Amino acid sequence: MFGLFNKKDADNNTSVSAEWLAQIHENQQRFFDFLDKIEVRMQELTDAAIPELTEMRNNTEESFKMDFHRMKSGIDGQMENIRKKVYDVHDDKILDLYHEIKHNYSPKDKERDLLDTFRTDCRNRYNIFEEKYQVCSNAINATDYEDYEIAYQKVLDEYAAIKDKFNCKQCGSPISIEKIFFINVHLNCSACQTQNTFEPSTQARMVQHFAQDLAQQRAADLYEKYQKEDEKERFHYHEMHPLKLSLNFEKDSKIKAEVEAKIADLEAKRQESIKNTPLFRKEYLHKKFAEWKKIIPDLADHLETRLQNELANIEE
Amino acid sequence: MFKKLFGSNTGKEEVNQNAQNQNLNSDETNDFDSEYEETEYDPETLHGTHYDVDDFEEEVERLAQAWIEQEDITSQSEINNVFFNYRRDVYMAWNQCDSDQYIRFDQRNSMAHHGIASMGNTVEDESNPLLAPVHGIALRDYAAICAKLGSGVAEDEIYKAFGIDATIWGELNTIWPARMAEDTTFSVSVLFGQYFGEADQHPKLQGIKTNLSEEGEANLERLKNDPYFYYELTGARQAAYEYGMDGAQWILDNFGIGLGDFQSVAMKYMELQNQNFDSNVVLHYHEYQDEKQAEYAEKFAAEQGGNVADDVEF
Repeated sequence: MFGLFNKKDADNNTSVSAEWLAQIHENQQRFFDFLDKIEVRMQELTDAAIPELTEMRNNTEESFKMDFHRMKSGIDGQMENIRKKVYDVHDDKILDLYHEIKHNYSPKDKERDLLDTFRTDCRNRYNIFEEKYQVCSNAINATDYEDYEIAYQKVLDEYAAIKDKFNCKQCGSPISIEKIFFINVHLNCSACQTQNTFEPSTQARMVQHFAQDLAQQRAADLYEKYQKEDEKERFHYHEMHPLKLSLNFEKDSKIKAEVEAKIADLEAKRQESIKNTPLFRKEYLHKKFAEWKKIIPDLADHLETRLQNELANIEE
Repeated sequence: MFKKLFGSNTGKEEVNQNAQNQNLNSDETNDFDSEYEETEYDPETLHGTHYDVDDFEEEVERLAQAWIEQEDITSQSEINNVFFNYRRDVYMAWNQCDSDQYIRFDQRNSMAHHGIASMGNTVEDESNPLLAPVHGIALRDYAAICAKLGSGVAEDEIYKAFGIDATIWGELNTIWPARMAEDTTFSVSVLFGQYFGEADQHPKLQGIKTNLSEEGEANLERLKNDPYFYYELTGARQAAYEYGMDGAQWILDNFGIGLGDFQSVAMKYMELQNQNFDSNVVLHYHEYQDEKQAEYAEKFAAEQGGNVADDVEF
């Protein structure tokens, strides 16, 4: 499990008798055990929270889902508490010990390697915890999802049902509701000219609050396409990096030529990503704002201004 | 009332001259500051008065353009960065000042330097169409209404004071946020924040009182005057949210202060922090808030039977 003592055994010429070896061994073992236990607890918390949060998110009648957000905030707080505990333990029991030994003993050669290995192994294990934390955290965040098409369909159905059923408070003549309103509106009676106030329902009022999310969901395919393209630049860059390093000591001209060709190919892909990313982002924004305008046409001019602002910020 | 916390920026270098700031600084820092005490600054622009602003701009332009040409920089964001860096370098060299003074200068001139408004440093530009009143309701009115509604004042009382009704309010509450979203300079949002912090002084709201208890009134007054109390409650509120509680409601239940009143005070602190930026003061209160947040977190955890991983030990 630990590279520490294997290394010592493998090298017969090395005599490591440092008094701190036992301490780093013990701390590493305890750190690994601690992480095993805390990861189990983190998973238990996640497994218990997800169905409860999902139930709460889907079944509350309250428009802004405040109960859900309060509970999620509490779960996030417990997750953060776990993360901080691990951070503190790593800082205190691993890094502090590492620096203390380095400072007090100034180890060299093989002993220094063992000490560095201790730090690296613990750091790697810590990184595994962080990856698991992200998986849990993402799963918890995913409970904050609503298919806004359903909410919007309810508003459409409601509108179809009420649009011809609003009557003048003065003379009783029918007043047609010409479109979906999401705020109060004064409507004049064509028969007696009395001003009537139409008050939209709670779910209709929510349209302006979820319109952007709904538009985003409708443009999700292009958003994903843009994001994937954006990630390619860094991906190809990191692929190229070790190849470039390998050239430093490569003497074989044939291998060198092959590696250079691979680098050139990756660089071409990277440049392609740099070129495509702003175009794909624009494509996504056009679709999102077009959908957004369809949902709340009264704000079309305002949304066009916002779209143009966003487009102007994209450098090609 | 807030000046006790952040001092006031009168145009002359006053770093650490107020009592609070002096308490927060070491002797070493004070010695360091004394090197700059001869520099005088224009109270409006915070440029040093010993040079011409045009000369300053020319020097920044000269250095930035030379670098842009030499490095063949074409990206607008990179060009902006070059100007930002040279503006900082020239300002600090010409005024022999520390980075806090530079930050105050940069905040004060945020619109000119970055095209972005800065809290506490923004004045209303009457020619800006995004600031034109809507149904006779100016941004200052809208912000005051929001602050009071957020503190639990009855809607009808507010509508009456401003001569509007629920229908007009619906439009206002759509158009003003839409303008904030459109405004790439953030002037509308920043001014909204500044006016939100001044809601109590709005002439049309003088007769309207938030329905505060006697204790709430006393606590609100303390909140305005005692920065430690403000940062303690800010930390407590954050801790409450992390333990699944409604932090704003927790403050109302325990201290009688509504969210609107609390945020109004918060805006004022933020504004003064920007106007009188001092990294030592900022750090001091940041640490104090963290300390208090941790104390309240412990208390809330104990009330809820502990944290889920309390028993997992190294």
